[in-house]
Amino acid sequence: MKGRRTQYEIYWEILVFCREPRTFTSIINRCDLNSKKGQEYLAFLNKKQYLDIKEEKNKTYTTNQSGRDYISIFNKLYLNLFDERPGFKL
Amino acid sequence: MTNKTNKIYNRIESEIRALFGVTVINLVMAALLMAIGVNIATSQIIPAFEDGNWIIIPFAVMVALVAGGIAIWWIISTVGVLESVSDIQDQFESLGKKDSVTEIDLTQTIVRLMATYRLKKPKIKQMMKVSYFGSILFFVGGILQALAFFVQYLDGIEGLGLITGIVGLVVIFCMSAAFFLVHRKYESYSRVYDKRILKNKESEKALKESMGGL
Repeated sequence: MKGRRTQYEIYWEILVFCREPRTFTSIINRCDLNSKKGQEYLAFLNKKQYLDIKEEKNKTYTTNQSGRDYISIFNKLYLNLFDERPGFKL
Repeated sequence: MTNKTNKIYNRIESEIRALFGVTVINLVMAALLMAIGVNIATSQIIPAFEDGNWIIIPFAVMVALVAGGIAIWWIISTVGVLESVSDIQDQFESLGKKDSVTEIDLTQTIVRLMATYRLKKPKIKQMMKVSYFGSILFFVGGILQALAFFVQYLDGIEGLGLITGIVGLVVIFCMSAAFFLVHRKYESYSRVYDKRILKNKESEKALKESMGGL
């Protein structure tokens, strides 16, 4: 994605994408991250216990209930940004 | 979809459309500025060359280069913004019918809009200044042309000369108004998003707390 995202926005994007089990490669491709940054963000989210990691055939990351709670809080805060006037009109 | 999300959906749709519209107008104005600037300069070069008035030629060439350079910079900047807005518009439209759009879909679009503004903010601030300057320039040019036309009118200009004079004046003042519209719309967009970015920073404190600190 072209644009300047904050770290919280990137966490949110990863957690939303990982609602289904995802591999590392698919995460960095989908969330437009390089390998190093992807590892940092996933390590952080794992440390905060927002992701469950399974190492079967491929290592996969899945958002757990704590991660889903973060997604809900984030959704609420960001939707509020556009809930209030004024908006931008032509 | 709840009333709140319905309202937010409509607001996002309206804002994306408005941003796309003002950016297209901006692109058209930039192209016109380049054409007019180069035309004015080159229309001075040939008569000056024929009259042997060599002093005017380098000055006219400089005006053409400056006008062309500013317009090219402006076009490239606007195309960059248009590309980003177009991507967001495509992504929003790909969400499908309003009823099938979820809160996560809307939040994704909001994240993209905010991220785009953070990235393009310096360019947008510059375009605001340039379009304001363009508005003033064309307004002053229109006044000067109106005065010149008034003198010609007193001398008894009529027929096609009268019509083309009036049309020329209308075009110049319309361009001044269009530049001013672009300036005001980008100013409005910037003001709204600056406020959202500020509010977003406060939201980050809540997110940080929810994560138990970083």
